Amino acid sequence: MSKFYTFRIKRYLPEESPSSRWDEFRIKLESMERVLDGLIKIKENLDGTLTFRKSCAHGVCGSCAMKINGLNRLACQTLVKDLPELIEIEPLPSLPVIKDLVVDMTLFFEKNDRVLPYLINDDPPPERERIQSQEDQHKILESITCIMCGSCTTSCPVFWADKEYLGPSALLKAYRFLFDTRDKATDSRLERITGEHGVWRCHSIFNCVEVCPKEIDITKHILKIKRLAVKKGFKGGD
Amino acid sequence: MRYRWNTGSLAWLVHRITGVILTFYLIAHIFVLSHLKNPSAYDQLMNFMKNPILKIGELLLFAAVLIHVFAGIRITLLEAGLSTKIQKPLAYLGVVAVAVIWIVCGFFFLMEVF
Repeated sequence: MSKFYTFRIKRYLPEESPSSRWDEFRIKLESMERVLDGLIKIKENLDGTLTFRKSCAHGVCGSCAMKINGLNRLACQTLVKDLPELIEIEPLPSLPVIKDLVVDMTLFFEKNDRVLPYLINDDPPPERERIQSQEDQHKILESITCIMCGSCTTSCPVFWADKEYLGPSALLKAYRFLFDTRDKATDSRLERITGEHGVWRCHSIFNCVEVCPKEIDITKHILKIKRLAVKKGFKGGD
Repeated sequence: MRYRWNTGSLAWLVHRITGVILTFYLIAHIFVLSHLKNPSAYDQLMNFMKNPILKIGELLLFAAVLIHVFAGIRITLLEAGLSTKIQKPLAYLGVVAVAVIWIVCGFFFLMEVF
């Protein structure tokens, strides 16, 4: 069954004045089509200047995260039939906008780098790979499914107010290595994330959990980091 | 910026607002009490506090205390290791507890005055 939908899109065109405005497009979509299909149709048929990120279109790459009707989500994973007739689309909140729905993710990825997002183990490597038991794998399985779309961090009120805050995504990445039994850098990693803008800034608001397209319970992981830090006596680094 | 509210963020917001209100109240409370130098000044203040408008104010203050306490208990339980899956039921339970305690205590509190 097809139906007409109105896409109300926040535009940002830096070379025009005024640089930002709302544009409305009315298009017909099948009920099983997604918001991303609508955006592609608009770009192809109505306004070629509309700019947005997309790549895989199947909820794996995390490129098309945007604010749809007041909630961060992936455009490729949101069916139009689940939305009202008026679909309001904005870029991810609180990151600098480059054009239309494309935001500058530099800040987001810098935070990811700060938690040392790689396996650190100075023991001499075994002949083949470092073996991990199934039970140990299950400890970090949920956190591994993160696609780094940025929905969580940009939905966090703490991040809106404090751009230095690591944010749920980077903390989840920290969890992924802190609780990896093959990793040996627990202390130096905790040192980096227990500072003023680190894990203690999380106020358990659960906005990140609400929006995660992979349905990761991020707050649960952050709370586990907090308990680990308390157990190890970390009050706050720099 | 508009962003959709949900249970967790509303719980956090009321926790914050009541916290700020109680901080200011506490400062005012200690300030006023520390300026009472003799028994008659104390009695005078207590008589002044019987004003019905102030009684209603106290009832609102009591609501702020209750909201802050139950929001705090919820967060403490979650941080202590209670499953985050029940964060929403916990918040709803808190709302019910606040409402019941406030109405029952408020009834007895107002009975004393009116």
